Amino acid sequence: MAPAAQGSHCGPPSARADLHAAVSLALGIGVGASFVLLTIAVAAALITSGAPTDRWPALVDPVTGAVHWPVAFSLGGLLVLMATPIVRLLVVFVWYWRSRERLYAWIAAGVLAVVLASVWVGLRAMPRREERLQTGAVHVSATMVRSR
Amino acid sequence: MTAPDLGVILAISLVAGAIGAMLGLGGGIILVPALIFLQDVPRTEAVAASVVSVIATSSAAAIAYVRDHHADIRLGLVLETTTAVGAVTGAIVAGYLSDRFVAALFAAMLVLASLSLVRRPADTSTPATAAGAAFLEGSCAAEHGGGRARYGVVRLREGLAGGLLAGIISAILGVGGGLVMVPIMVVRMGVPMRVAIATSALMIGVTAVATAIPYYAAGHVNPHLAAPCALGVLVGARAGARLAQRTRSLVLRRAFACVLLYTAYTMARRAAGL
Repeated sequence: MAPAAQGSHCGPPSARADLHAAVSLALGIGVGASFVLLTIAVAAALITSGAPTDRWPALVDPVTGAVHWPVAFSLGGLLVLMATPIVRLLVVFVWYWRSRERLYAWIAAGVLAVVLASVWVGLRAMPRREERLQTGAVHVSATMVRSR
Repeated sequence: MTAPDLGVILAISLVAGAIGAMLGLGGGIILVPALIFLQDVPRTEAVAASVVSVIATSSAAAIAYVRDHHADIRLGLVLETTTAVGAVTGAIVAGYLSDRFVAALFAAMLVLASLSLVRRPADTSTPATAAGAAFLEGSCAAEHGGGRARYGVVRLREGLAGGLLAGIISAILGVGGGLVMVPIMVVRMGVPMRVAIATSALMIGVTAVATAIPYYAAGHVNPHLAAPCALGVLVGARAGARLAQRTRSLVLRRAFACVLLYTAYTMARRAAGL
């Protein structure tokens, strides 16, 4: 077992405060931005939805080619949200690298590499939605059918 | 999705976010069954929406936890190495497992976790001075008398193995890895409950994003569902994080155990086809 390393609450107070402040700031910006985008998206959907069959449209109208902004804000909010923990990892990596604490910098880099590898998994190894629908592996409710 | 559906989903997500942030679970434990049973959402889409919401819960709760030095960043980073690998593995496996098998497995795990929490004393943290083999050391606000109490992190291998399991479960079920990580950190690794919950909340975001990306790339993230879920959970999580800092460790343990047992009951019924 390795000797005890300094925990996040040990070490020079100013240095550890920097790390905590930077991580908290990165999370705050990501959460704040996604909150604004998602609020706009959901508010727009609440205002514009009408009859029970009047569902949220696709991002781009297949006939007119017009962009549906509620969906665009929704997708934007979700992507910002998913990017937030990745940015937090980047902040931690940079902080440890600049502090010459290479062990923890490499650990952060390793976690980032695994997260990036998950893109490949989604594109290649995971059964796609269309395949699951075709094979009957997905139960599609009446509600979801009406939404298409 | 119509306006009434949107309102129900927002309400469910608000409650899920608040409870999830208070207990370090993420909101998925409530959100997934609610979406499946109340809104008739397909399992993969419910899990995908929940995973995105878990990112929201984690990130929102972690802002306060990290700022107030409740979360142990180094410990979280070390444990994320296996939770992220587990999450990617679970995302691959998830598409090939039957609902009933997953529900049965999850119910059994939940019962064991809740029992381990109830039977152990509230403070099982390892004092730093007594932890000669500790891999990490830290300090947190003392439960009694003010000031800060130091602790040592022990049994790192068990924590890493638990992290792998947490990642797999998170990806398959769409719940936060805190279900596994909080009990392991408290009972096996000697981490104080408050630090375990805060560190778990910080870690869950990375675990969930390693799950969410494959789901998104495979087309399982339905923005019409995930957006209101994420928004509701975001708002609820802020309230939950504030409540957690005012609640004593023993209260949190009992509340955590009750939530685990209720979810086990729900999952067991599903596994039995009821």
